This record gives sequence, C-alpha cells and structure tokens, in this order.
Amino acid sequence: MSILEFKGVTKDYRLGETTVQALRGVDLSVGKGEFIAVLGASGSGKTTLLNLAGAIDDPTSGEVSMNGRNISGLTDNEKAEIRNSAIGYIFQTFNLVPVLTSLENVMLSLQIRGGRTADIRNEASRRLDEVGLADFMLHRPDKLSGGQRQRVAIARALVTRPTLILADEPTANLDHQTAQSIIDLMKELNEKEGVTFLFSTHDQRLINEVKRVVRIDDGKIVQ
Amino acid sequence: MLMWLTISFRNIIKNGRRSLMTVLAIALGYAAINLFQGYVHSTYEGLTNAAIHGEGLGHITIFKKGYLDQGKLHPERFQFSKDEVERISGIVRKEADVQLVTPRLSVSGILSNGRSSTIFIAEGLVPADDKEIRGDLSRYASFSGSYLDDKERAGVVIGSELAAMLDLKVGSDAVVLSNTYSGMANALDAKISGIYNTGNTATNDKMLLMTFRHSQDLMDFSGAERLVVLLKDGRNGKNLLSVLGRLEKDLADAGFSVEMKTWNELSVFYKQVKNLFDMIFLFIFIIVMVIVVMSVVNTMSMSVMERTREIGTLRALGLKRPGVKALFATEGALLGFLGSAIGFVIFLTVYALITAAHPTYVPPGSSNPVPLRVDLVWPVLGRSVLSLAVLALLAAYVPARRSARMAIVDALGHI
Repeated sequence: MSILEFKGVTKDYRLGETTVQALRGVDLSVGKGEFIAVLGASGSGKTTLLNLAGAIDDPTSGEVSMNGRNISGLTDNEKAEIRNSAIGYIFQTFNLVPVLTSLENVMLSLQIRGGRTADIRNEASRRLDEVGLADFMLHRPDKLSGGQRQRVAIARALVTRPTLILADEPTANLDHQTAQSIIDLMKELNEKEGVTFLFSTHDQRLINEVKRVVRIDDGKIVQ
Repeated sequence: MLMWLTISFRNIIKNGRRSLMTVLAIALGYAAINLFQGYVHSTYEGLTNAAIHGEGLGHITIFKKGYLDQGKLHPERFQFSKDEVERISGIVRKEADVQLVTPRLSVSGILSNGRSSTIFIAEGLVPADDKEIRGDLSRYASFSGSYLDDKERAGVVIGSELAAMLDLKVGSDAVVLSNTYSGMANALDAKISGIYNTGNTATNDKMLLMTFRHSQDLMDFSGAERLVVLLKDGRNGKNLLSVLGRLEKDLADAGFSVEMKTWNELSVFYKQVKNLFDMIFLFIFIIVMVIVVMSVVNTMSMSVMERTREIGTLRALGLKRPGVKALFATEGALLGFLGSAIGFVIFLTVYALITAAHPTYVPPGSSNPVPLRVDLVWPVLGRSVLSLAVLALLAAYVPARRSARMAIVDALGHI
C-alpha cells in the first residue's frame, strides 16, 4: 500500500519574467517501509519533489496524496497538522533552533502538537538516547559536532512517529566517517522500526544502501 | 507556551546589545511617564486639598437657583433668607456623610486705614466652622496675629500684601466700606486681628476674611449668599456625586429651588492646571509610545530577518501561522516587561533621590515655594507595565505577521 502518491504533478516557479518548470508531470508511489533515494543533478527538481511530498509547497497541477488523502487542496492549518503528525524532516543544514538544547529541539514537534510536558520530555529523551546522544541532551547546537547535530535532527524527525521521513541531502555537510554513521542510523531505523525514508542525495555510499532509486532529470522521473 | 517563552527569552539574551537598547528605551519611557504621573498625582492631591480646605470651598456649595447666571447682576434676588438658611442646613445635616454645613457671604468694597484706601474682596464666614474646613490658619508660619473669633465681631484677617499696601499691622484699626443689597453705602469699623499670605499673588493684595455676622452687618442682611458643605474624611471621589444626588433630591422634595456645585467645578485654577497637565501627559505619552513602538518594531524586524530559516523550520515541523505570530509577539511583550522592570528601578531611584533632597520651586501664580513631590501611585505603576507590554506586543505583531505569511519554501531557503 502506498503512503505517498504523485499523479501528474507539475510545479512552475516564476523567476522575474520567465517561468521555470521544476517538475513536469511526475508520477511516483512510495510504499510503507521503503528506503528511497532521489538522485539528480542540481536544479533537476529533487528538492521541489521533497517539498511537495512534505506539504510545504503546492503543485501547479496534479495531485499529491498521503495515505490516500489529497494534500494539495488542504488549508494551511490542515497541512500544518499533517506536517506535524505524519511527516518528519531532516535538513541538509540541520536547521536546529540555536537557542534550544538538543532535548528542547527534539521536544519542539511534540510541543507544537500539545500534551503533557513530562510525557514530551520522556519521549524526546528516549529518541535522543536511540540516536546515541544521551550524554548531550543539555547541549546547545553550537556545542555539538555536525554529526551530532544531524542526529538531533533525526531524533526530532522521529519523535512524532511520522509515516514518512523526508531528508534533503542529509549527509552533504558531514565528513566521511560522520556521514557513514548517519547512513547506518537511518538504515537501522528503516529496518528495525519500519520507518519510511525518502531522501535526495549525491552520496554514493547512501545510494549503495537504498532498495530503490528514483532518478530525476529536468523535472521528470527518468528511472 | 513555556517553550515559546523560553525561545523568546533566550533570543533576547542572545541578541544582548540590540535587546538592551530596546529595553533601555522602554525603561526610560516607563520612568519618564511614571515620574510625571507621580508628580501630577501629588500636584492634584495638593490642588484638591488647597481647593477644598485652603480656599475653603468645602466639597459642595449650595446656591439659590439662578445665582451663578445672574447673581452678580442682581445679588439681592439670589440670596438665602435667614429662615431658608436654617431649613436647608437642617436637611443637609441629616445626610450621614456630611460633617458640617456653614453659611457664607461674599463682600467687596474698600478698606481704609484712615489716610488711604484700597479695594478688598471678603468672605464672611463662621470662624468655628471655617477652622474645621481650613484648619487653624494661625498655626502657619506666614500667619501673624490671631484668627477670627465670634467674640471679636469686628476682627478681620487680611492678606499680607494688602496689609503692606495700607501699612496695617496686627491690632491696627481700619474701616470697611461696601454697598448694601439695597444700594446704600455702609461703613463699619474693623480691627486687624491677623495677617497671612494667601499663597496666591492674585488674592494676597485684596483678600479679607471677616466673621459672618460682621459681613451681615456690613451688607445689612440677615441671610446668606451660599451654604458650604464639608463631607466627612474620605468621602470625596465617587461618594461626592452620590451625596450630591441625594441632597439635590432631598432639597427639591422640601420645595427648595437650588443649584449645587462641587469643589472641582468651582475651582477654576484646579481645572486649568488639570487640563494643562493632562495635555502635557498626553504629549509625553505619545513621544514615549512612538519611541517604544519604533524600537520594538526595529528589533523584532531584525530578529525576524535573522531567524527566517528558523521560522521556516518551525512551520515545516507543523507550527501554524498564529503560532509564529505568538512566538514573536511573546518576544515583544517580554521586551516590554523587561523594559518596564528596569524602568521601575530607575523610577524608584529618582523617587528616592527626590524624597531625600526635598527640592522646592515657586509655581506660576504662587507667592510661596512649594515642595517638588512625586507620589508612589501603585495602580498607575502597574498599569504602565501592562500598557507598555501590550504596546510592545502590538509593535511586535507587525513583523510577526509578516514572518507568519512567509512561504515555508522561501523561509527555508533564506540565507
């Protein structure tokens, strides 16, 4: 059963007087528990694909569905709820809130959803422990290495138990060894917990680990 | 909510220098507003006291209907007869909040020392009642001699400038001359029993106080021009109007056609000063408001610009637009609270310095220096904290709204 489906999706951007076609009729289906890499050159439409999958952008035409529900026509609030409950994000530049500790950063998504602070704290601690940062819970991002920051971002993406985790070049800003540990962690979460990953990457090591590759070129899926 | 407060507070600390400038602008605004408010409060208290007790206006004055419009033209028509004075006084005394009711008679004429003369304006009053209203004038440093006494029917107390003009001393003999209501000139002997500084340059060279019976003799009249009502302690304010309403009803029921004025309606000086101070306060408040709003808008706009990617991240995590607005509005309100807190410390420091130094100044129209005082008015201090926090919150709302409307993709791509 597919949890994410693109049907004839196009996306145009206006750049001054010209219109750039970022996606040109994309059809894609992502099943539960998949570990998919989206490959393509810069400007091929990888990030646009992830943005539409994550309900942070709207297609120009076509339909993006999550768990059978068309998310393109939803209101801003409805999309925010879907992002909070069904989608986890891992950004290339980590995007942690600098004034919050690791623990507080992981707690954020659950705080947005609402609930007892003690429960939220416990769940966030457990997730940080899972990604190997039990000793760094009270550290702020500027006191963490790049790999540790990305682990915090992964814990933050996992904490709401989302249907799908989207990662935009998750190892691009990391050194070789750290990138490998992040790849291992994502793979482990996919295999053990059945978390679905859809990520864009240029990292050959990551590509070697995936079960499925989606290649995109000039806004079209070519493989 | 705690998380948003945490983020806001830590961002304020993180951008310490910028936040400090904004907080200081709010703090100085808070201190300026409240020092002026404290000074104005002290001045209003002083003026209220001066009007009710110093000027002897009491709380309420009862006139015959029409007196205020035509009483100066036809004084004989708008006086209370002796019988009316007694009956009205009886009704007023029954009111539980009334401390005393006393008759008054205004007189004007010429005061002479036998060689030269000058004009005077006089109040005929019952000495014992007037002591209850004004206190014992003879205890003031500027008073020499003794106060009016019914036993000394011809005794008068005069302003120090008036005494100087006619070279009158305590114990000097003089003559008061006036026209009776029937138009006849009437002159009576007077003895200077006291000389005092009225505190007002406009009246110090013509004010004369005489006993009520002496003024009746001079006017050849057995009634009174008006009745002054003093309420019991603490009955000013809202109580004043309810007492006024009850008295109006009681007197109307008894068939009297009267009009009543409260002390603040009669004290022209009070009204003028209050209007002036209200205008100055409005001016200061607008200046402070503009400074606070501009500082907060500038700080929050820079904060929004620097944290655009953070806003995009929070939105991607599921934070709704109102949540983003709340986040920045909270930061604005916190700036308002912190500024007010520091402003309160500045206020207390200046307040302590003023209290310790006892500075004095001579206000316009006054012949005596008065102390510069600032009152601690806790409700006003509290309301100012709230007002500035709300103002800062509203000022932060403009950039907060802009940040909330940003497209998530654009915010995430912001460098």
